[in-house]
Amino acid sequence: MRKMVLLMMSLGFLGGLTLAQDTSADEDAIRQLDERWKEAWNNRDAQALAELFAEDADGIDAMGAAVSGRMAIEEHYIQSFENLPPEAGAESEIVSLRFIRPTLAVVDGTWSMTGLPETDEGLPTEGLYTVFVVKRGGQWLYAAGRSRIPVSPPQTE
Amino acid sequence: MFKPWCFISFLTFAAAVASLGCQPAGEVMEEAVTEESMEDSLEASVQALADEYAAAWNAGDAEGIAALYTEDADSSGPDGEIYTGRQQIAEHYRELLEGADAGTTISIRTTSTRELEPGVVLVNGGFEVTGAMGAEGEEMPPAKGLSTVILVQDGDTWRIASLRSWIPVKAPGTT
Repeated sequence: MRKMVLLMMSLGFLGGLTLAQDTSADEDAIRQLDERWKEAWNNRDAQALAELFAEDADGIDAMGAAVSGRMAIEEHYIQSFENLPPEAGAESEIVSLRFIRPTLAVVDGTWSMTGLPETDEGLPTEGLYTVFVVKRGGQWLYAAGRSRIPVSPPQTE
Repeated sequence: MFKPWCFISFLTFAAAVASLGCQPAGEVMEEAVTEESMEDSLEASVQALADEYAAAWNAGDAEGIAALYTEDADSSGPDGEIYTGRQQIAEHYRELLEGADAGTTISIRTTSTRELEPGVVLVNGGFEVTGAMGAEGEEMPPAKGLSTVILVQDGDTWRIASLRSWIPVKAPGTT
């Protein structure tokens, strides 16, 4: 980070310097969003989860089921939690974070679920996620969430 | 510098007035009509981009697909790997189109488009790849997937800033 700042200063790239500083604060805020998501999910707090999403956010899961709008997202979490055993837990880890614009970033990570009963064996318990986050009114929110289970391409050889 | 009002008036009057400045549309009625045509125009631009992508794929043109991305874009397909930068993206498509997806045909339909901020839209869509060959030379069933794409406006064209696509897994108990 220091090297980067020095490089920018040596180039006289003051605009870039400002951007680099702003970005790290924003990056922290975005990482916080994922922490809050995990905490709220593990507390089965659908309302707190919904508040992490923008009003017009949408989500699509690994099976292709889609929900659109903050209210629908809250409803989705309420329903998801209804049949979930109390010991079920969610974990996630950010793998990459990239700013597309100062107020828009794409975050990729891995997720996993623990404590699911054997009967749910057919359900994927780990995978990848992508969220697009937007800064609105000074606050970072999820604009879109996608969950993916990677598949290997068919081998031709 | 993006000026929404400039964009709005540009779309309505560009055909009639050759060199339009940046005057806001004066009439409320005109503005309403303009917004509608802006939406239509956006949908058309997005579909045109999807068509360009499909045409390049079907021609086996990895460079052609990569050219639809921004220079610093990122892209991740059903295998989950993330490719960053137009060059990496081009290499990845070349591998696909000379390998597992050689000679395949893709069709893409966009299902929804919404603006995240001026000059940035999120597009959801579906795709289907047909004609892939298996290890024994047998034809593989079509691969049907979903994609979510962030497009950014670059002058009067739209470019892919970020793309994620995946093949939905089947829910337990379904076939």
